[in-house]
Amino acid sequence: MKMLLRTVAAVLLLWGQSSEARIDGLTGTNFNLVARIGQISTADGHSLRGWGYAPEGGLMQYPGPTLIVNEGDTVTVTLRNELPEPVSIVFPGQSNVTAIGGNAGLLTQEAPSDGVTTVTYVFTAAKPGTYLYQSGTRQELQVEMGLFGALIVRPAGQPQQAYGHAATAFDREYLFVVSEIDPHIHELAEFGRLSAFDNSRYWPTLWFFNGRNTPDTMAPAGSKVLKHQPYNCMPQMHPGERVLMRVVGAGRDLHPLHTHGNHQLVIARDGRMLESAPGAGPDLAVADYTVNVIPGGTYDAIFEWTGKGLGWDIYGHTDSSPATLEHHEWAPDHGKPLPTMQPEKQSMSFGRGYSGSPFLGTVSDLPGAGGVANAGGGMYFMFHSHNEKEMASDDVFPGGMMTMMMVEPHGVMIE
Amino acid sequence: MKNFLLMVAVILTVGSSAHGAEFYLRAGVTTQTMPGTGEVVPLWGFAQDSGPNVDDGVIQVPGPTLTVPEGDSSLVIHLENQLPNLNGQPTPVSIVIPGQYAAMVPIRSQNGRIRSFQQETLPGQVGRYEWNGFKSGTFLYQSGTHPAVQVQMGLYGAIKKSSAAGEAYPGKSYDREVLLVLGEFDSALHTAVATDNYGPGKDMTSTVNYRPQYFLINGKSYAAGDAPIAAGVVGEKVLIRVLNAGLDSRVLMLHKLHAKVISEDGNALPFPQEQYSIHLAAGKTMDVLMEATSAGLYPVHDRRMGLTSGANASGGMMTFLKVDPVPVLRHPAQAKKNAGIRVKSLRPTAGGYMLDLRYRILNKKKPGPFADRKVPVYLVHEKTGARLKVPAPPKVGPMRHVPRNPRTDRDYFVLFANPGKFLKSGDRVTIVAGDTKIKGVKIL
Repeated sequence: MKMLLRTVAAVLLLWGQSSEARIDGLTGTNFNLVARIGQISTADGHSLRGWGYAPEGGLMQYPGPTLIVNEGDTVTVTLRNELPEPVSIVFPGQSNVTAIGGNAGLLTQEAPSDGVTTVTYVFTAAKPGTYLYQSGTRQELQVEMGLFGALIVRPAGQPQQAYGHAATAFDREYLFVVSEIDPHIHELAEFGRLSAFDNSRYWPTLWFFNGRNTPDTMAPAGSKVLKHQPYNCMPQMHPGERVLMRVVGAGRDLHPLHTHGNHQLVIARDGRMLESAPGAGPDLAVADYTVNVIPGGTYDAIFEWTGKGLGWDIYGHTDSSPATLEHHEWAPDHGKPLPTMQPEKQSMSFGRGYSGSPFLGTVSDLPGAGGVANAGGGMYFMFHSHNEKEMASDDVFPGGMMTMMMVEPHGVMIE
Repeated sequence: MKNFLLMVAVILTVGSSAHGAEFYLRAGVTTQTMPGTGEVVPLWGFAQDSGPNVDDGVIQVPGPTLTVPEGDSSLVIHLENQLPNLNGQPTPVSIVIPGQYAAMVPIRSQNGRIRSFQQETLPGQVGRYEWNGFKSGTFLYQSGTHPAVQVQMGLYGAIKKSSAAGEAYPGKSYDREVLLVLGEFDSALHTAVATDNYGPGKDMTSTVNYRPQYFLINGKSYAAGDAPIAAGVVGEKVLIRVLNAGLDSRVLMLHKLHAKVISEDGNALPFPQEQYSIHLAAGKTMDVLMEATSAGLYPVHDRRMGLTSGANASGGMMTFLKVDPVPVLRHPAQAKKNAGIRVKSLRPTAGGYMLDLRYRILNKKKPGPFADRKVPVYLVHEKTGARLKVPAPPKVGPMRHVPRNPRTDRDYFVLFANPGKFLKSGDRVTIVAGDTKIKGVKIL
């Protein structure tokens, strides 16, 4: 049975398949946004009032739409406001943003809550990178309520690079917009009692990747039951691919983003490569498995996985002939056996994610309903906030800021 | 007791160096009225007096900024204690500067626990604290006694030292300096301490429920209309010394630009890091170099949302850095006296390999040495003494416009060779024309 499945996988193997996994978002250079109310659905069954940016004609979303532009573009963002108080947009990391219309606020022009007046923000996306946009008005309340989103600037002519340098090339990219919620504040907003908002008593109990708590992070993007939270956080890869993690700190707290399986190689912070001199590329990149997400800040990291360092053949080959080397397999471990005796299946219990076999790409029979979530025989590594209580949704575990990086064998198609 | 303390103080003064900075500080009480709520928060702070037991300074939070001059390697602080008693006991105080070396004499309570990191000064006494080999950089000075209470009551301030004039650390020059001390007040805790209601058996027994409601930059919670902080002119390198005297992480968010982080905790980084979200853990200091390319107001605030005063009035850790446009260079005193010109600008040109001086003649009847072909004109780099001459290629002659009929309504130029691009924007030169010198001209 094992042999048969492996053969099937080999037949499905698509050598040199180019990867197309791209971040969902709005493209172009003109964006019309509306600040409006909506409901944020949390994994513990709560429905919380939220304020977010919606694309004109669309639903409020948490986080706001990811804006994807190209280096050198002149970006125009208009903002209309249906919220009960003035709102605005600031673009940290962008210089020379002009704002026209509305009323002068503390940081920039604000759109009044008449639902009609628009403010137009214009800037040149001069440098590639991963950035945040957020409200510049009463940030302590409005950013908490959901008024933020990601801005991605692709390097001119190099959409497969993060920063216009070969060392920032990637095969797949995933966005991680990190945030937290204190539900009490959202309840006050819903019941028109914001005069009772106390910023000094901030106490979040919900944590999010891309606006969702686990396990909703792994639900499909655009799910109809999460209509105000269209983005998921479902990183997937094949061994040997370079995955770009674009991490945006949208909340107010620091979060230790922890990747199982391997280090993250941090190549940029706040939209600037970690480079010793202009043109050097990310020669100051740092590999670590727990990286601090800074509120308001962003970082980019490359994640790779081949099984290197495990010391055994992840595919379960019993021969060490190079002829049976898989695509991007870590050759020195080829043919090395699993360094333990597998127990009898009758004496084990199984989670939904176990394929029935410890080997990548192999699915084996399991009693009961085990293995339903791992038809490809992949290996799953948890990506999560290592501030453990943040892996709960209002004290319900598993929950909060958590997802799985699914390493699928090369025969398995990834969107 | 006093004699014992004096003896300890004498022992600690062994090895004072010839060059030393010396300050007289006093720990005492004050209050501050907060915007948005009008709440009066009791504080403990430092004042700087002109001498021992003179008491002519004003208690403030943060404490007075102390500058150790560039050449000085040692620091002495005389500390007078005017703190009130707590729970019927006198309140000792001390000074520590994390990051600077000093021989420490920790003091323990009767139960053996450390109460003070450094030798204590009792109320009514003046203690002496000394540091040798004082490192350049940006540091916090704070009480080392019962710090859980005393530091958050306000007993902290900034102390800094540049490695040379206009240089924060070797090789890291700046034109202008800004200081940002981030702080927090938990007014409930402050009030408990001020009313002697803090301690065993009292209303507040510990700082465990610390919950700040006020957030400050340089002792101010932002209120609409507050004046911005002057941050030089366009093109200048502004050194922003940031210190987090609070008890929680803060993230200083810069708007409209990135700046370069050049040091942490007084240690220069080997490579500057370009950021706009600068994370400061509690007690952290960082030096940031900002170079604005356009004039205007640059918002700077805490992105951890310490942006309120009391429950929800907007304010907190928010301020603006004001960058002015480049002024037209004028040196009227010197010009009118000797040189007969008004310097308009001195800029790099030809890829930086030449400097372009533009000037106007003030009086066409007395045009001065610049209008005399026979008078040599050259630049002297004020820092190194290097001289830059006017290039004189064979067919063209000196690259300098010497007017036959001087006018007052047009610009004239002189070019100077700048081999190896030795001089750069920001460097200061003296323009020499014969016997005439115009000093302090900055290359734009």
